[in-house]
Amino acid sequence: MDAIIRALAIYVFLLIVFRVSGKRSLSQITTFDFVLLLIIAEVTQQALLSNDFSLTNSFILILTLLTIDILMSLIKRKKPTIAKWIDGAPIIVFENGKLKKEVADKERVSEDDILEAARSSQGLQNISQVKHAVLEKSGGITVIPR
Amino acid sequence: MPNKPAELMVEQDLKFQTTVWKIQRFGWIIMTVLLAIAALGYAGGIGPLNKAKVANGQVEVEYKPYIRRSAPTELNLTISSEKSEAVKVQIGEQYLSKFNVQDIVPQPVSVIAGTGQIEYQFTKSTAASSVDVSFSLKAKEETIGNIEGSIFQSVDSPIKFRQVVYP
Repeated sequence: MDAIIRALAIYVFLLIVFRVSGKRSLSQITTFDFVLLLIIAEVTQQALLSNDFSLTNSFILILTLLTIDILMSLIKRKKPTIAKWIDGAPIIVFENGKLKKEVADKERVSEDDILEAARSSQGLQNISQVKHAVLEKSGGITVIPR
Repeated sequence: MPNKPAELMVEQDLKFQTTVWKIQRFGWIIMTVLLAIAALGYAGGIGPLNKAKVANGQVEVEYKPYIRRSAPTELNLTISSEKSEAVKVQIGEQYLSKFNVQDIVPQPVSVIAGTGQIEYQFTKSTAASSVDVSFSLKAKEETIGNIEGSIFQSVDSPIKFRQVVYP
């Protein structure tokens, strides 16, 4: 029972904290972000397992986490509004060759981030070659070239 | 879906997004406040507000009002006794049953289980007017919430203190 409550508490807490911290937090933009993600995973693992490293405990935890995830996906399929609140929605940050400053500021996206995405995904050299850029639900930036 | 290029199939919703941004900013404030509360010691661990002292006659108890389950904590007692070499203190059994006693420094000479309390006896040098005893405790897995401790010497009325055990 305690393992199920622990898993449920961690799931809900992580969901809220990651949603509140925003799309750009920990979207693996730098090496340090990746390291931070690993540290969070380690901290979570210890809180989840407590002092019980038995197979039974790990099975219960895995089953609980996956069951919650399946339930959430079913709810999200039925209720798109809930899905939007949980997963967020994509947003255009660069439109027709111009940075949408207010949106970019609120989402903590800079022109450099868009240029980096343009280089890595499209092999573009210049910001003038970018037509649109979309900040996806995952926190990644999709670039549409001219 | 306003302000969106016609050819781009993106389910953008600026109204929803504005609400999300507002909630996020509010969430950041809450996160900072929670961190400040934790830094003060209200979430257990080390913090300026996470230490308390109660005294009654010959016994002084120093404890942490906020502790965490499975994390070590200390209960420090200062027992004064002018006359004898042997000093005694009794701790409520109900309180002790919520912890694993990891260590007692100095080691007691004797431990006697009574009705509802456990009596510890220590020896001190005749020159010393008091003895400092430190109990290293660890809250048991099932210990969560408010707990009350009681410590007393046979003649005095008990010293009561409250602790909160976080999960």
